[in-house]
Amino acid sequence: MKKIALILCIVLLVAFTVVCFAGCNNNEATTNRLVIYNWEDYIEPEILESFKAYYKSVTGIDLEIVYTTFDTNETMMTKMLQGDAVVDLICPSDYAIERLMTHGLLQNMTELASSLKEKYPQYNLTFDSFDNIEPLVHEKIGSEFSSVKYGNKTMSMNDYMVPYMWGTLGILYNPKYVTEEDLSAGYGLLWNEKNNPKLNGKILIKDSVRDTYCVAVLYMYEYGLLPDGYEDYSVQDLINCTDSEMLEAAEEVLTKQREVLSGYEVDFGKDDMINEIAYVDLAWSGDALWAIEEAEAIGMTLDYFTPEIGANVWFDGWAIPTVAPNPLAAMMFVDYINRPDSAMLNSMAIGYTSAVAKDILQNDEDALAILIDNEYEPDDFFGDERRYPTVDETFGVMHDFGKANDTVVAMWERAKAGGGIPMSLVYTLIVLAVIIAGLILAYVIKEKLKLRKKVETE
Amino acid sequence: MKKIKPFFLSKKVFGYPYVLFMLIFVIMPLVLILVNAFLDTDGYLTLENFKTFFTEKSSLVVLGNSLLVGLITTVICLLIGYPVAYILSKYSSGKILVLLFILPMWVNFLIRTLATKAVFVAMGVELGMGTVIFGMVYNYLPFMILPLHTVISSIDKSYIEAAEDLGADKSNVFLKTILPLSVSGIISGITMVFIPTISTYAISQLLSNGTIFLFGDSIQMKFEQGLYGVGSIMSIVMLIFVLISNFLMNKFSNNMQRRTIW
Repeated sequence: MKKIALILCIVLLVAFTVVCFAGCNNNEATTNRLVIYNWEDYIEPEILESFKAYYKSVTGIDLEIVYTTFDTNETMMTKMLQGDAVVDLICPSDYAIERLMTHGLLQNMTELASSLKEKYPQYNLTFDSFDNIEPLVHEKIGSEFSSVKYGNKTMSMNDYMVPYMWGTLGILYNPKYVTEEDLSAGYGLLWNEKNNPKLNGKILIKDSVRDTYCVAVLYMYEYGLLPDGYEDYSVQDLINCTDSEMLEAAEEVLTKQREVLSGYEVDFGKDDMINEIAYVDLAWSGDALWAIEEAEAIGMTLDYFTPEIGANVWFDGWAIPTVAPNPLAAMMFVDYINRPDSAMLNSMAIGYTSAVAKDILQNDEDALAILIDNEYEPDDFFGDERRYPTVDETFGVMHDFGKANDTVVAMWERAKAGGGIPMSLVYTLIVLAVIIAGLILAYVIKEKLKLRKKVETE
Repeated sequence: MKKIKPFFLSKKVFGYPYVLFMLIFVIMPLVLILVNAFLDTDGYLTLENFKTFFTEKSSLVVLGNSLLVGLITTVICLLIGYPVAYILSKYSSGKILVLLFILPMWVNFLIRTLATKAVFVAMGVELGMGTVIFGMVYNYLPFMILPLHTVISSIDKSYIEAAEDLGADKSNVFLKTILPLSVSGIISGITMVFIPTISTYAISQLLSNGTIFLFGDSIQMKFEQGLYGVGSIMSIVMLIFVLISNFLMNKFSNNMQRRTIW
C-alpha cells in the first residue's frame, strides 16, 4: 500500500514539475518572444530577420520569432477556439476573423495601439503604416463586417484586424488543353461542362469546405440549378446561404463533380499545374499568379480568370488574440509589414496582392526598386486585372456560417465520401461485418460451453 | 509487519518511467476522448454526438468505404502473404527473403507512399481506388507475412511426416495439417492488417488525391473542423474494433494452445 502511495507521489511530483516548468518558461519569455501563426507560404522569410533587427533598434531587446503555419482557416480556428494555441499574431481570412470575434478571442487593435503608445512612450511608437492600407479594402470590410456581436458588445472588424493581402477565388488553367469554348463555361469548367475529353480527371478543387461550397453555389447560379426561390439572390447572399435546400443541391453537384476530378488539394495544386499533372485548378489569385510566373520561367503558359457571373473576394488580415503574451511585438510587426517596401517584398515572394494602397506602392521608391529588381514593368504589374480586380457587386465576401457550420461540414463530408461505392453495398458490408462478428462470438461461446461440459464429465 | 524494501534499490524502479509515459500518453488521451464524446462544441454535456454519428449518412458511407477497402486489402494480403510465408519457411534461403520484406519497413511510410504516388503519376496511372488498395497492400503486407512466417516455421515437421505416412497426398497434407495448424497466424495476420487499414488516413489521401475518404480521414477532418465530440465517438468506435479483434486473437491463440489439431 505504502509503495503505491509512494509511486503516486512521485508521479504527481513529476507531473507538477513538468507543468510548472512549462508555465514558468512561458512567463519568462513574454518580453522577447513573438509567436506568429500564419498561412503556409505566406511571407517573405527575410522580413522576419529584418524585423528582428528593427525590433532591437527600437526596444534594445533581442527578439525570438516562433513562426508556425496552418493550411486552412478551419485548422487555425479549431486551435484557437480550443485554446490550444498561445500566439501573438494570426493571419486568417475575413470570415475566420469574424468567427473568432464572435467568440471574443481577439483584441481591439485600435485601442491596443493607443494604449501601447501610452505604455511605452520611450519607443516613440507611431504605427503610421496602418494608414497605408487601401481605403477600398477598409471600406469593403467596414460595410460587410460593421457589427460583429459578442455578448452584448458590437464590434467593427476594422478595429480588430489589419488587412495584409487580398484577392479572389478563381480558376487557374492550362491554355494548351483548355479551349476558348471551355472557358466560356465559367464555373462549368470545373465540372467539365463542355465535355472536353482532355480534361477528365485533370481538374483539381480545394479541399476546403468554404471555397468548394462557394464554387458549387456559384456554379448552380450560373447554370440555373439553384433550388426554387433563390434566383434573385445576389452573389453575396448565395455564397453565405446555408439553407437545407441549398445544401442538398450543392451536395448533388459536388458529388456529380467527382466524375471529372483529379482530386482535392490545398497544397499541391500549384505544383501539379506546373508539372501538367492537372490542367484546371480552383485557386486563390495569389497562388495562381505565383504559379503562372513559375510556369513562365520554364517556358509554359498558365492563366487565371474569375467567371463573369461573380466570384468570391477575400481579405486576409493580422489579428491579435486576447491570449497574446507579447502584443507590443505583434503590433510592431504588423506596422512593419505594412510599410511599402515590406509589402512589396511579400507580394513578390508569395504572389498575392498586398492590402497596401496601389498609389502608395507606386509612389514609393523602395517598393518600385524591388518591383523592378524582380523584372516587372510597374504599369503591367499594377494594371493587371488578375492582381487588382475591380471589385463590384458581382463579388461576394464570405461570412462565418455560425451554428450552421456543422451541417455544411457534414454535407461536404458526404460529398467527399459519396459516389465511391453505392449505398446498397455499404449496408451489405455493415450487415456482413455484424454477421461475421456474431458467428465468431457464437463459436467462441460454444467452445467455452463444450469445455465446461468436458470438465464437468471429467 | 512486512518490511518494505528500500525503494531505490528495487529493480522495478526502472519500469516507472514507462508507467509514467503510459499514464500521460495512453491513459490520459483515452480519458480525454471519452470526456469529449459527451461534450458539445460549447462544452456542455450532451448525447447529441452519438445521435449525429449514428444517424448521419456520411459516417455510414465512410465506415462502408473503410470496411470495403479493409476487406479487399486483407484478402489480397492473405492471398499474397500466405504462399510467401510458406515458401519462406520451407527453404533455407528464407532468411534473406524475410529481410527483403522487412527492408522497406525501415523507410518511413509517408516517404514510401509519396514515392509510390510519384511512380504512379509518372506512369500515368489514374489515382483512385486501385492505387489506394495497392498502397495499403504494399504497406501492410509485411504485417501479414511475419506472423504467418512465425507460425508456419514453428510447425513440427513430424505432423507433416505423419500425414504423409498415413497416405495423405500433397494437397491433403496442406489442407489437413499445415493450414489448420497455421490458423492462429492467419487470424493475427488478418487483424494486424485489417485494423490499421480501416484507420489509416495519409495513404488514402495521398494515393487518391483525397477522392477516397476513409474512416481515418473522417476522424482527422472532424478534429480539424473542431467537431471534437463526433471525432471522439469515431475514435471510440475504432477502439472497439481494436478491442474486439484483440479479444478474438487471444481466444484463438488460447484455443490453439489447448488443442493443437482441429
